[in-house]
Amino acid sequence: MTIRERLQLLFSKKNSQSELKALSNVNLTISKGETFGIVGRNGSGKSTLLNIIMESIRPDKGGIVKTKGKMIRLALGMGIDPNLTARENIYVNGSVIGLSFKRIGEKFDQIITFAGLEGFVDTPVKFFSKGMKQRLLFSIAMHVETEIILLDEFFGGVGDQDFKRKSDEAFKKVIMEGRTIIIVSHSLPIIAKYCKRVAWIHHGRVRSLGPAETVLKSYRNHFKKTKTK
Amino acid sequence: MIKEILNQISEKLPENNRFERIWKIAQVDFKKRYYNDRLGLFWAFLNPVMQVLVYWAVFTFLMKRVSEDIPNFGLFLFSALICWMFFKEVSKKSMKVLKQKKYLIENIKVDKIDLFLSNGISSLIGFCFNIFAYAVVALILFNTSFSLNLLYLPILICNLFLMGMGFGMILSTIYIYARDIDHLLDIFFLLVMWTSGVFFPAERVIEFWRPMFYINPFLGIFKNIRAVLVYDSTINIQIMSLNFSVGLLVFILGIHVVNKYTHKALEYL
Repeated sequence: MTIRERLQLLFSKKNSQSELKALSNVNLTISKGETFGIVGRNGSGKSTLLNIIMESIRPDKGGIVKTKGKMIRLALGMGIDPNLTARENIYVNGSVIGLSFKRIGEKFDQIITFAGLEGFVDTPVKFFSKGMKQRLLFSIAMHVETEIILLDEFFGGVGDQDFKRKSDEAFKKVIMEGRTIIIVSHSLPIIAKYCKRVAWIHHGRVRSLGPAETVLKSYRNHFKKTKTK
Repeated sequence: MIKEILNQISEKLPENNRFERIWKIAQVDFKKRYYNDRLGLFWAFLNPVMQVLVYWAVFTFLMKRVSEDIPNFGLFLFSALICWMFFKEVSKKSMKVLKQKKYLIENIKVDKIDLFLSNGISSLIGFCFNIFAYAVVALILFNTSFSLNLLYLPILICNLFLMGMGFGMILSTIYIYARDIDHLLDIFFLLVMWTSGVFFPAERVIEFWRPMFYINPFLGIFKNIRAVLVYDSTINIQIMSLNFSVGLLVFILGIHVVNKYTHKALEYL
């Protein structure tokens, strides 16, 4: 908001913007090594929840977030500065996550080969295709030692068939390594495939929480009902 | 060449992740600013030199009275002007750091202060080039001699850095809630610049307006910087310590404000 807008608000009759409560009363405990899914319709507060978990947004009331370990969030078109080269992006991301240069140097080749960007190490990312960017970010997250990975609508169309297979393998390996993964997705098959527990967020509240099958079933039923209405 | 020097410094840093991180972001930032076009670093030199030339021409030819009996007026102007530009750059760029680095804040848990620090350091690298350009001009054109007084220079630069960082952090917090602060800011900067004695000493002004100058912390800083860089005379320790405490205070205030009020940054920016 700008000062001008604030002044306008001050002098106009309808003096309060209606505020939307994005989330309220959300209590979640996600344990280490768990793969946790979050589903919900557009605008239900899923991304806000991730922001709060990341502590990049502080909740207005209560809301204590306790996380242990390094975290990275994967979302389309985020996390990468288009003006920097692939190498610089890897170093910036890696060191912000908490790795030393030495450690990043050791992982560097793996990250590049996995993403299939061998010829483009020193090319600014703005010249990359969407798929290449996504592969780069995914590859960083898979190889850098983060304890917690948040996937925000990241799946679906990540690269070509070959990369899909590779990423699936890498992802399974990461799960096996005992890293905590939180998946937000509209694609229920993916949630069903990876997640044991799922939370369904509806209008900013946890509508149901439990084993993947039951939650997804009621979520699907809810959709069917709204359709028939 | 400069790229290599910067890279070498990063290899020599102690293996502390925080240092490395701040340095890396600063380095990348600096590179982004100057290497993206062909002339590159040349701009970093050219901009301050051109500005100095313009002001110098104005005050020596058009308004002769101002520069009369100020010895080495060119250096008098040059030294203070690059310092002022450094302060302005640090604070103006800090203001938009959170917006610029949103891509990191959203994705990785990062200490915001680190982002500000690396932003300041990237400006500091540019400032070092300006100081270098100054030294070349001073030595070749003006035959200035430097002495051990030069040891005070890092303290004075640090003082400027603290002021710029602190002020910038406060600005960036305001920027979240009122984005058109941008327009007001330029006017504020003009006011501070003209009362900071960049162009003429405070004694030149009619008495009524002098207090405006004396409350401006830059007056003292520039005076001391000139003592070191232009006239090779002893500096006023009292003023220096006073200014340094002001700088430190602003810096601490900035950190406090950022930690307390920027949690809405992602929603509003």
